[in-house]
Amino acid sequence: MKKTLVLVFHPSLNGQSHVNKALADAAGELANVIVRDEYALYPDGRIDVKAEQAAVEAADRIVFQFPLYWFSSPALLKEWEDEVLEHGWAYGSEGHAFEGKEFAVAVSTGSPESKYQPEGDNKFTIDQVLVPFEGTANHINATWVKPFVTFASFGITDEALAKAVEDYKAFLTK
Amino acid sequence: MRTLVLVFHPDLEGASRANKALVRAARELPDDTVTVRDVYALYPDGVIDVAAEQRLVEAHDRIVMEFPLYWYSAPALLKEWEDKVLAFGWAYGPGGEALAGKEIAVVTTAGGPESEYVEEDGGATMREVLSPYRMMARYTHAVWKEPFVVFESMELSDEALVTTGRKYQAFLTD
Repeated sequence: MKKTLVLVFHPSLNGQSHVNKALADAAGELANVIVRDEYALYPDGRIDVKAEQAAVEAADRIVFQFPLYWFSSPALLKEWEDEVLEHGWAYGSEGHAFEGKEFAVAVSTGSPESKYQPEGDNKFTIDQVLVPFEGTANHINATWVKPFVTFASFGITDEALAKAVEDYKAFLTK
Repeated sequence: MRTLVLVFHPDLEGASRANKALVRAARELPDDTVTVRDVYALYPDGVIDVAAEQRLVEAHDRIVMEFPLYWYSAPALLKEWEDKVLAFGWAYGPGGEALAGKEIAVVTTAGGPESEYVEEDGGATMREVLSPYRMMARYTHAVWKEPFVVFESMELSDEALVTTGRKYQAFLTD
């Protein structure tokens, strides 16, 4: 069975978060899935690059889980990319760390899917918004997996959240 | 028109070449019309003075975010700036009109050639790569100004950098 690493980037996972907390808790109960709460691990924003690289190396599939802030990830995820994806490890002639691994994004958005359409309020689809992550996956020769998106997460019903949790478990174990 | 140039390069005075040349050109412009800030140098610990940044935005008509493209996005501190400075009740939500009617522009340097940014073979255009910033401008009711993009930024000759600097000055003052 594939080993999956879920890196959760929510600045307040055990406080304000509702949807990401439920998804992360469900993921943590699965066999062969390791969940890391990155903001809790690095409250001063200083990432332990070697520890993160070791976690990636031990997994077959890496998932970035986060709420969409300003049509992108919270800042610490970008810091993670800028620091952890080193030349000679993630890319470059000697950088093969992600080769043969799957790479996915699990994102929650406040707005419904109807806003993420060419004719909707936001003008761009969620796939277009996530282009920087897909481009990164391609650049490091990982296999890009279609994102797991929880739309309309503000005021989500218990029923809809329970369904998202079940779908997420299936996504992480398939 | 008063223009605020927020530069996000982790090592502007050291490793940077293209952004340094752009900043030099921007600083030649009269400082009562163009304000240039090296944001990484201002906040080496990553803790942004939100009130100071908001006051500066309020005092200008056009906000320019200048950065080298890292992993198809800005360096992490720009995301931290968005997450913290673009606060509810200031940039959006009830009473959040600080950016309404102001121009927002992105200026970025990419190591790769323009020919890499095409949709063929699962790739993406620069328009898609920069879509999160365009959507941020739309969400805050700002006016999006088409980006100023420098491709093959690491290959530019000294002469080409001077020419690019002149074009940048025209971009900042038109």
